[in-house]
Amino acid sequence: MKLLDRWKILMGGISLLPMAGTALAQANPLPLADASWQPNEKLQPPVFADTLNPPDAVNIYAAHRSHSSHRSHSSHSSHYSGSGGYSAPRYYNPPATSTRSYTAPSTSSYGAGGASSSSGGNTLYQQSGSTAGTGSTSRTRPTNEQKSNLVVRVQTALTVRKYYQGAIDGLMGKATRGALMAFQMDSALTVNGRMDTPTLNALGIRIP
Amino acid sequence: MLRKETHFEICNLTGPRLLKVITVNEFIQKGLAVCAGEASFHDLLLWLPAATLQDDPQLLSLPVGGFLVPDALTTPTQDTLLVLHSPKELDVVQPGDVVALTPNSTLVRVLYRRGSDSNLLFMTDRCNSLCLMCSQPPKDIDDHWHIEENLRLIDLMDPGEENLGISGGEPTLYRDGLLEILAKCKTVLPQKSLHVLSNGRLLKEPSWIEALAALQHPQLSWGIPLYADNATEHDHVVQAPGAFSETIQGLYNLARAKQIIEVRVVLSRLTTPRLPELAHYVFRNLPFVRHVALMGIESTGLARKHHEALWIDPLDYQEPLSQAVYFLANRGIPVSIYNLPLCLIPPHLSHFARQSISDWKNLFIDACQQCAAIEHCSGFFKSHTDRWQSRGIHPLSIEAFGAYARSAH
Repeated sequence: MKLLDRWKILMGGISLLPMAGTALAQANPLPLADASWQPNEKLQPPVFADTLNPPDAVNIYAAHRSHSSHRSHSSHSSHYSGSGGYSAPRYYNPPATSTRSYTAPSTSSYGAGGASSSSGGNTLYQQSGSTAGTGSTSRTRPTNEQKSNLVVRVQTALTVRKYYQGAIDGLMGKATRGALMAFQMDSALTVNGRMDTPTLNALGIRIP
Repeated sequence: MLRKETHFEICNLTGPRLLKVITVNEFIQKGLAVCAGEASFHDLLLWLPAATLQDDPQLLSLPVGGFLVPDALTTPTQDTLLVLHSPKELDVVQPGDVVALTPNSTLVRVLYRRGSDSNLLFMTDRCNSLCLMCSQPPKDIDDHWHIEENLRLIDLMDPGEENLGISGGEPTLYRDGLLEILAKCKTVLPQKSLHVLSNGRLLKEPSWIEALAALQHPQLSWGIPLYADNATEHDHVVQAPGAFSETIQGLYNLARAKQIIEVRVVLSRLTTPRLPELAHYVFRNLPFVRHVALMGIESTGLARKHHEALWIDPLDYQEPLSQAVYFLANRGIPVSIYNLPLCLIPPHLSHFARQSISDWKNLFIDACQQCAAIEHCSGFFKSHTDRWQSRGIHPLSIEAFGAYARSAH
């Protein structure tokens, strides 16, 4: 090591001492910005892959044929190239019932609290219109009320994002579906007008 | 201190309502999952600042139970929508809270406050004792409706880990209602720990053993007051002959049901002289007790009426307090001092002192403003007056507080 280098190191050490003034510290000849301070692609802010709903979340509202098709969205991308699909929203097709085959529904707790006993005679407070979750809710198909509740949340999210101006009524009508498809288009999602998991993630909606 | 009720301008309220306040964003993200139990959109009160409302007026078409505008409302709304606006105090009602509304009243009561450690299921105003220092004097009315209100309130609370008190009055008076509430808490709010305040007298009934053992709530504890090591003095404090014996039987029944038990002692002129003997009694006869709380008096309710009989300057019971605390602590029984400001506790006892006063009735007086310990001190009840002020109240300097900190080991 050359004497000059030793001197540099000594200076660097001194600059840590409180008695060394800042002027001296700044006069330190050692380069402050060496190669490791250059912008580095590896130092870009991390992009988290986590989403509100995991990719394999059971989304009974997506109206897909089968559970496994969540993984094959790329195959849907042909929809996307369709001639400006969202300008002419399609009608909502009720979910096909025959081919639905969720084999192992995880014990997700939608309709939470359904097990608790709603002890009758709650006369004190106006009982709200209807009690969600009562009755036998099947795991594979949402009740009309569950579906309507999710549509209300989708409509609200689209309203806040200025895609939707209609009434928030829980009905998946033309205007709502059109707004949903416009949102999907702008968000580079599959434009299918469905409440599928990627769309709900983009809207910030947790699957109930 | 954040009060638990305030006034709003309320439009179109037709009946009593219990509503969960929720922001638009939380509504979008979580929907009904903000409520721990069963709920519908009609149980929600949408938090809609005037600016948001101006941006998206069609949010008023949301099928929720009502809308809360935390500012002044300029535009008139439809005459069917429930709308709350122009609160008298802005901070009292916040998103996440559960509020109760009654027709023909502008009062909005916060029954559940998000993030508070002092949430309470209030069971009844009735009581079978009439303690001389009772802070909430009992009323002999039929208020069974509290049970229904609480069952509904449980559904609308946030899920997740929190403390929840159950108190009154005497909650065991409504035996079935209390058991139903405990069971519902276990189902709907399994992560919330419960603390029931009861005088324990009715628990002498052996059927409680089976009921509580069957309940098997994982985080349920009982705070039972005991004011003396003998029946005469205890019965006098609670103004009920036979109460001591009943409470002791109740304590044993709780132990048989393998419950977590805390013994609470309110410190007054009547209870402090024999405090060391009481500590000895608890250690000898109630070895299953998990915690002993020695509590400064709350100067409200009946206590004000009995000021003469009850008042003793905390400086004058430091010696028996110290003996009782060390007797129990040295024998492995956890012990705490509640409701006493640090300047009234000798430094060597300060690590037993807790910030115990519920946030909605906790304040600090003028003398506290220069105190170095204000962040660590219990402070005072909002009912505090000069008549109940110790001659020892003084701001601690940083050096004096250092002595407290050093003695905490």
